[in-house]
Amino acid sequence: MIEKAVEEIKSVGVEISTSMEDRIAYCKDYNPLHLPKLLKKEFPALPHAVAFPKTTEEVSKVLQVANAYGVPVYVFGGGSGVIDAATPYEGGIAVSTLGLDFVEIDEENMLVRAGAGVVGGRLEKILNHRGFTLRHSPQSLYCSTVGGWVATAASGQFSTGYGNIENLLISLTAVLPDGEVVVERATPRRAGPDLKRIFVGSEGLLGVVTEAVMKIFPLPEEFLTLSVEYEGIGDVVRDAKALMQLKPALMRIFDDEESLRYFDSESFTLIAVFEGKGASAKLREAKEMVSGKVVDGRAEKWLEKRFDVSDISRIVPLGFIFDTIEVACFWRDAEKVYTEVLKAIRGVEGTVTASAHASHFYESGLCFYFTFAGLPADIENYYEEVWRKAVETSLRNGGNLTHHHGVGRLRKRWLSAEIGGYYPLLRDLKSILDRRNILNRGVML
Amino acid sequence: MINPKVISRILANTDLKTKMRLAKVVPKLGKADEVTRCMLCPNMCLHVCPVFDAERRLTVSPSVKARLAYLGEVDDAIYHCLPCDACKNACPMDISVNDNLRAFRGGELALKAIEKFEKSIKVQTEEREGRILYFPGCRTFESDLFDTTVEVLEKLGVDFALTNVDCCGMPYYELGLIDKFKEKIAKLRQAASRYEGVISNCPHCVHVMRENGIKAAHILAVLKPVKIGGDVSYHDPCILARKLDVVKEPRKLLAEMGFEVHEPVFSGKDTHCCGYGGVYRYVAPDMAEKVAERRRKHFDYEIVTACPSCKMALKGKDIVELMADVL
Ligand SMILES: Cc1cc2nc3c(=O)[nH]c(=O)nc-3n(C[C@H](O)[C@H](O)[C@H](O)COP(=O)(O)OP(=O)(O)OC[C@H]3O[C@@H](n4cnc5c(N)ncnc54)[C@H](O)[C@@H]3O)c2cc1C
Ligand code: SF4
Ligand code: SF4
Repeated sequence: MIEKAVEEIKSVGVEISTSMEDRIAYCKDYNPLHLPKLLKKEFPALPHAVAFPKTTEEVSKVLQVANAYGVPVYVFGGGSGVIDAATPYEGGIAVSTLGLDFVEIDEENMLVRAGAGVVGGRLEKILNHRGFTLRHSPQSLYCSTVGGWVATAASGQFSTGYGNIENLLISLTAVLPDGEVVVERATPRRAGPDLKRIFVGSEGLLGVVTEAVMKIFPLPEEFLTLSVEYEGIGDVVRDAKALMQLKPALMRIFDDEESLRYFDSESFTLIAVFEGKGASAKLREAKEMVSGKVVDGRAEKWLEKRFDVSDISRIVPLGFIFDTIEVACFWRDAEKVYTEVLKAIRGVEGTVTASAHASHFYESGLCFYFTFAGLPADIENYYEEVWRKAVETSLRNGGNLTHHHGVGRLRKRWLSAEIGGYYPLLRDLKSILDRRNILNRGVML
Repeated sequence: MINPKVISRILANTDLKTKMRLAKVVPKLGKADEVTRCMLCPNMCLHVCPVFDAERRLTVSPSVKARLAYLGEVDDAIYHCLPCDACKNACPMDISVNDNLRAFRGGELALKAIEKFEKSIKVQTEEREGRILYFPGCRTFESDLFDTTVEVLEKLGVDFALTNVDCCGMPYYELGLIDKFKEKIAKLRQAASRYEGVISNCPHCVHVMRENGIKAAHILAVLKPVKIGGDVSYHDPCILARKLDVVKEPRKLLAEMGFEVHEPVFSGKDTHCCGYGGVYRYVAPDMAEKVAERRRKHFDYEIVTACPSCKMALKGKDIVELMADVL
């Protein structure tokens, strides 16, 4: 069946490869559990073939053929997703969206139209050269794609000031699992059902995003930073809530353990960035508002290191497993979520470090981002236990399931508890749009 | 170096069995080789890799090429590299993917590529005596820059020699054909030993010479400004900017020549390879053209550069040619 599908995709003029090298390149996403396997020279999975469509129409052709043969299809952007979503466990066809890579800047309307496969770091560089910025800056900016951002409902380091990907999105083009193309006319806003939103965070379950129109912003002339230190989590969270009135472009809280790593200080740290018009007045006011001690240079130190994830490469070869767990909660539950989830992770035998920062803030609450590294006797059991305990503790204490990494296979067992009555609705949507269940089988549902 | 306060926290928070495992592995911290570390990275330099940008497949992305090398899949993708080091320039661990892949090359594809290279070179050999050796390198001939350079050097009064050595060996080196490379570079070293130093138009040649103990400089070192004026965009050749650290000099020279120098996106050490670097042209010619085509779109003015390969790829002018026009 799959061989026939591959032949047919070739015959309709879409590039598709069955070379071992291409298959290995698309054998996994960036869920950390894949890394020890690779070290042992094992493949987490292997697609039978990899398709490289270059246009929306070519994506449609691939899906039409796959649908006709009932062949599983796994959608890949940059493969930086961390929730074990794109990994092609049933073989089938990996569809790489990277060939969809045009960029069109509309300076007058402050928009950019970009193919799903455009890599974030390059897009930002091109925009910066023209005096603009997307201000969507996930830590994976350099290795993730526009389509991946939409599909995972990604959130960047400047989300507090500029919003998450859904707030930056003006319009979308997507291909449904049966090959039908859906496009809408771009407009600053419209009433009525905003159905493009079904693709935001859909993790390739409901269709393939092929292009997006997004807002862009002028590069701010002023960029001012604030760094403050605190004794404990309670005070820093209270100040963060108060500072939201000043609309910082970026704000972060580092707990004592992360402050030690970044700033060689065992206090809690808050950093904020104010930028654009009125930034100096905001900074002045912020300094007056905070109850902690204003210190120098911590924001700059973090900004310099914000894309450095090289510790992963240093510790994984030693037998460590690590991961990050991000959850959102209302202000009311912040202290509890922080304290209890950390306690839960630290309580699992094998944990070497566990720490947290808060990285995205809203009028109503915030996102805590827990990082753990363990050196267990059995990596898979340990990893499973940390995840189970952390998520259950978060849900029990007012935290949610995920803020921005998504659900994938990793968190799907808790999804129905999280979204309640919307879970059967999602199932219905999936079965209507993807009758033969070809797209990202096993993800989320 | 781990912060001692971090260590004491780890010791306080960790159970006994884990502590014992830690004691065993800590001495190995930081000892994993670069290929292993690179393949574990989520591809944090993907956005700057010109080969990936043209081919649009994760297969030729920096971290995946390291993965393929680690797994012993070394037939094709690991050759898809410009020796541009954009990866190294962006890498927090200072890793050059290309440097690491060289050891895995030397297979069938290398032999095919070198055959193409050998068929393509047309080197005109001339002898002449002088104080310093002018070693044009094969690409200076290919880009029709040789006669112009000789003319400019003569007009500037540079006392230069020419000899009939044809190749610095770079293509052999990059393809992992090390014995053949050693032969080539030994011949050049022997020839160069008779002079005070060597100059070349080609940043590749200069870099290979320097790495192999030959005193060499890029031709920019002997050029002098002549007044021209106008608007140009300067393209930094990747080897010149990143490996020879020559970034300010061409800009200063162009400014002294009266030019308004405009920067493209990706400039200075963050430059973008033109596609004709290394041996990628002999491995994946269509893709090398695609890199060139994409790079050309980054410029708003006439492209000026200081490398024969970049000049060809970008259909621009070498600084030497600008001078020849008015000297
Ligand atoms: C070091 C590191 C830091 C990270 N930091 C952040 C961060 O700050 N913020 C954040 O939000 N995330 C972060 N992530 C997670 C990840 O980068 C994001 O989820 C990102 O949006 C994934 O994009 P991608 O192009 O790599 O998608 P992939 O990993 O290729 O895919 C992710 C999911 O989306 C689907 N998909 C991809 N493209 C499409 C498409 N065009 N149409 C439909 N479905 C598609 C896939 O099938 C899969 O389910 C980080 C990851 C790493 C490794
Ligand atoms: S060169 Fe550095 S940044 Fe690039 S993939 Fe390798 S380790 Fe990552
Ligand atoms: S040397 Fe250049 S082409 Fe090769 S991996 Fe690094 S950035 Fe890419």
